[in-house]
Amino acid sequence: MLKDITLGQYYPSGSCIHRLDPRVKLMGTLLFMISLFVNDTYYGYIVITLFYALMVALSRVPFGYIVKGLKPILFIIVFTAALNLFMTDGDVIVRIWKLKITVQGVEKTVFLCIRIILLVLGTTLMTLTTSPNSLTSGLEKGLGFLKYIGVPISAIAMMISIALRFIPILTEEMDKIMKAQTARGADFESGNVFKRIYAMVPLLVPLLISAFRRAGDLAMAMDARCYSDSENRTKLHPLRYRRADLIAYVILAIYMAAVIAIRIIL
Amino acid sequence: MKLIKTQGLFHRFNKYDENGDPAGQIAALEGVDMEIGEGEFIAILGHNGCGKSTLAKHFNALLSPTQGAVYVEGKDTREEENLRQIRSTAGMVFQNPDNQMVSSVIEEDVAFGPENLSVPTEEIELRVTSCLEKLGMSAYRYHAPTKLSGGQKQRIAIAGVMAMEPKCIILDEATAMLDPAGRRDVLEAIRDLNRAGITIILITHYMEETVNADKIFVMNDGKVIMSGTPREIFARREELEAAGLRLPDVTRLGYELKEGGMDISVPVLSEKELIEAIVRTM
Repeated sequence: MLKDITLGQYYPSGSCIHRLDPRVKLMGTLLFMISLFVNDTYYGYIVITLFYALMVALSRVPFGYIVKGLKPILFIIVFTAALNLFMTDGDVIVRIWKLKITVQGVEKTVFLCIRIILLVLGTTLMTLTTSPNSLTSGLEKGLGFLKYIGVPISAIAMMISIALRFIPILTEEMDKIMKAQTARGADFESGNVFKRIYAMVPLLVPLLISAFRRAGDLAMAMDARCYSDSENRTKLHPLRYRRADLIAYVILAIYMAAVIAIRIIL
Repeated sequence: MKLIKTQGLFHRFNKYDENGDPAGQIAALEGVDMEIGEGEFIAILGHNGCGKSTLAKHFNALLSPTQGAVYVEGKDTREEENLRQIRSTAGMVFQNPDNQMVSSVIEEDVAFGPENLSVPTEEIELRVTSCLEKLGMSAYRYHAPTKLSGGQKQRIAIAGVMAMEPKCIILDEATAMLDPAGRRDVLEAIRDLNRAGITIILITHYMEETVNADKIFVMNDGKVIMSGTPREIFARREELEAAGLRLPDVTRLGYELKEGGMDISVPVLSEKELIEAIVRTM
């Protein structure tokens, strides 16, 4: 039952996008998001969509896989669409009771929906092509400047990677506790949603206690291996920019320039 | 100079009642004097709660003495600035294999120690490769720890300690959660390391694991009650049983046979020895 929890959704295909430095991909995603907000014409969308399609093609991730990322936000899309469709003033096309649909409303709705969908697709492509571990080291190095203003960025990165490490362990443990309680007559599978959620409460206490115990053990093991959150730690695989990464930055710059140019010219 | 030396070591844990108020102390160690030389294979034996794990944590400076002192390579564990040196001299492997792995990739976990010691990248790479090889785990280098068996995880944990190039490895009941095959694997691995010159301190309550040790310390109620070679220790059957320890099956069989009138020299330490002794009587 709990086996289908996957964290992140890394899809290893070994493409050139996968092999890029995670910092490039993070920056790329950020620029892609900014470009979506810079753009205010449909022509811009053509450029953005073409760029995105190129990235997908290069990443060799099946498109169907990427589209799955839209499922959780379907509700948000529909909600935003409805709100904009009915709430925009302008030239009325249809009037149903107190609700009216206007030309401007339709235009705005379509525009916004494309924006949201591309926004999600963009970030999905990043998580599909970057393993959680390299994402963490990318964040650590990419946001490294924050340590100068007192943010313990390497400690945060360490916490994230430990959390990732313990997710499968705690999931397994949860499964075990569930089985132990089922054996003693607990029922997790019948009743409505609220009943089922309520039935989960007794699981949380043992799970939490065990998580704390594990945390204590791990802290001691890390101490024994001389861990400290100083900046002097070295790395087995330090992030180093290669030529492909520089080329990727250039491509990103050209793309941004194109989007901005379209906004200014049109 | 001895590698590890304790002098009149006392350790007490504070006890608290339900309201969190101090309610006396629990004495975990009561005057332990011990010397461990370089390259030795030491076993510390005792039943649950006898203080052996507390003692192990003192060797690694994870605990600080309530009274007395611990010296690792002559360095006092009470001094904050010695911690790094002590912990990289005396590495520690814990009981639960899952709770001591930091990374979700094996090679990164092995690299964790050297990374903390600011070892240069190229050197870490070399150490990871050689440590995984020494423990026969090279094939799993890029795997996730969840896919490994308990024995394999413990071998990775040992590799992780080895990568810090310690002089001594302390195994704090590192075999307690393993199945027999995993236990055999781990014991074999540490015997190999000992042959390569690493000091081993094996903490356990299984007497059969201590048969190959150079020296055994038996603990009870926070004190060392016996020390000697396995043969010397295994001969003190009544005292061991009084300390809550159970002799290995072969050794007990040896005693029973002797009591039954067979001419066998006790204690018997291994199956091979018992067979030879029986053959000799025939």
